[in-house]
Amino acid sequence: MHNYTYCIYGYTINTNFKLPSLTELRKTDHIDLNVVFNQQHLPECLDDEDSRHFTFHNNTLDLWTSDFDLLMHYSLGIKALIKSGNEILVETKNNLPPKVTQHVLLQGILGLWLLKRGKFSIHGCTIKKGDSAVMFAGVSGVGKSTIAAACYDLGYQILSDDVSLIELTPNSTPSVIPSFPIIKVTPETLNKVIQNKASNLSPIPIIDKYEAKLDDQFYPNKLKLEAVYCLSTSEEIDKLHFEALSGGEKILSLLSNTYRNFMIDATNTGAKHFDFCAKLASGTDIYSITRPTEGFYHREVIKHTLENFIPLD
Amino acid sequence: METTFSKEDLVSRNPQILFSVIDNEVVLMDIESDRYVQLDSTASDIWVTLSEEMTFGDLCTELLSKYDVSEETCHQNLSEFLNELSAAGYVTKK
Repeated sequence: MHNYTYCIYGYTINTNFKLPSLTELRKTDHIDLNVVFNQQHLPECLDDEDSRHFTFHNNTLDLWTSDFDLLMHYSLGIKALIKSGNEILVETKNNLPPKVTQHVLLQGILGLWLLKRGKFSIHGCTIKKGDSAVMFAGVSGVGKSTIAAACYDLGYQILSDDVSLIELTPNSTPSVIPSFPIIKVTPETLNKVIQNKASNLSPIPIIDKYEAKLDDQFYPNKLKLEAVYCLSTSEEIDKLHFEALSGGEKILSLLSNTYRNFMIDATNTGAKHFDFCAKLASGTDIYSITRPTEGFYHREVIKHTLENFIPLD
Repeated sequence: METTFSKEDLVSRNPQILFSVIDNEVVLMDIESDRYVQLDSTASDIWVTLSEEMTFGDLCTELLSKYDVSEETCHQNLSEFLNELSAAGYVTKK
């Protein structure tokens, strides 16, 4: 059985599944995590006395938790058992395209693995700006992926497309850990935003998105986080609205923009999560950017955040 | 149910409630229910002042030394606020 080793979210991950869009590490001193595909049948559920069951994403994802293990069951045909040690077992349907399996592993499965370890990410993209990084966070559909796609098209270096893992030093200085060198875009974003690099994008079956390898536009080292921009939309405005957040609003914005925050309860990491958000809020600048519901505003957002200082109303 | 506070009543934070202070504002987090709430500046000051169990009367006295309000107003407003916190499980009264 051939094994492949990759650096994902800063961890050295060994697997028997070749990730079609990632480049293997040449040399490794140690392995942080083993992900083993299709070596054994996984249970349909966890039936321990203390296990709990959750459903997410309109019942397309079932999650069982016990004191030690997490079992994910995606209706598209992937099961993953996240064990308490450094091992994840995955079982896939034979006909599932590798890019779909890769996508589910990189975000869904490893996203939950990180949460289980008490490592928190913000749902958003992170772009290199000078010697530091800025992050665009928000719920799905608010425009963060559009900004990431536009930054890719314009040649910016990118640390993360959608899941931005944050590390806090003991004095709460935040850094962003690069995730993996792939960017995903929707068909609409491909048509309306990507002008220079459309030929680099290839479709991901089933999930109706396109992906591109970031290659040398991926920034592989952690960077100090300069600012978080929390995106939202409003029907009541007709131009972009920028606002510096302060006090409790900073903490609340991070609580609500944490990646997979709806799984915090399932992973029993509520107290750690609150502590993380409070420390991150005290250690970084956080702004809200509200855009009108209709239209594309990514150029203006990029101009005011990555090219210049933010003008406040 | 509304509770009336007397000066001798002991009031304390629920130790199960997490909180953080940032820019003089307090955010409370109830892990059990996954609820969090942001306090305004005066409410934040009351929460911070209530750093250890104290009588309602002593808490009123502390606040009267900071705010230009009558004792009657302080008593009434503080009682209403603590009732809200108590109903939500953020403070306890003995």
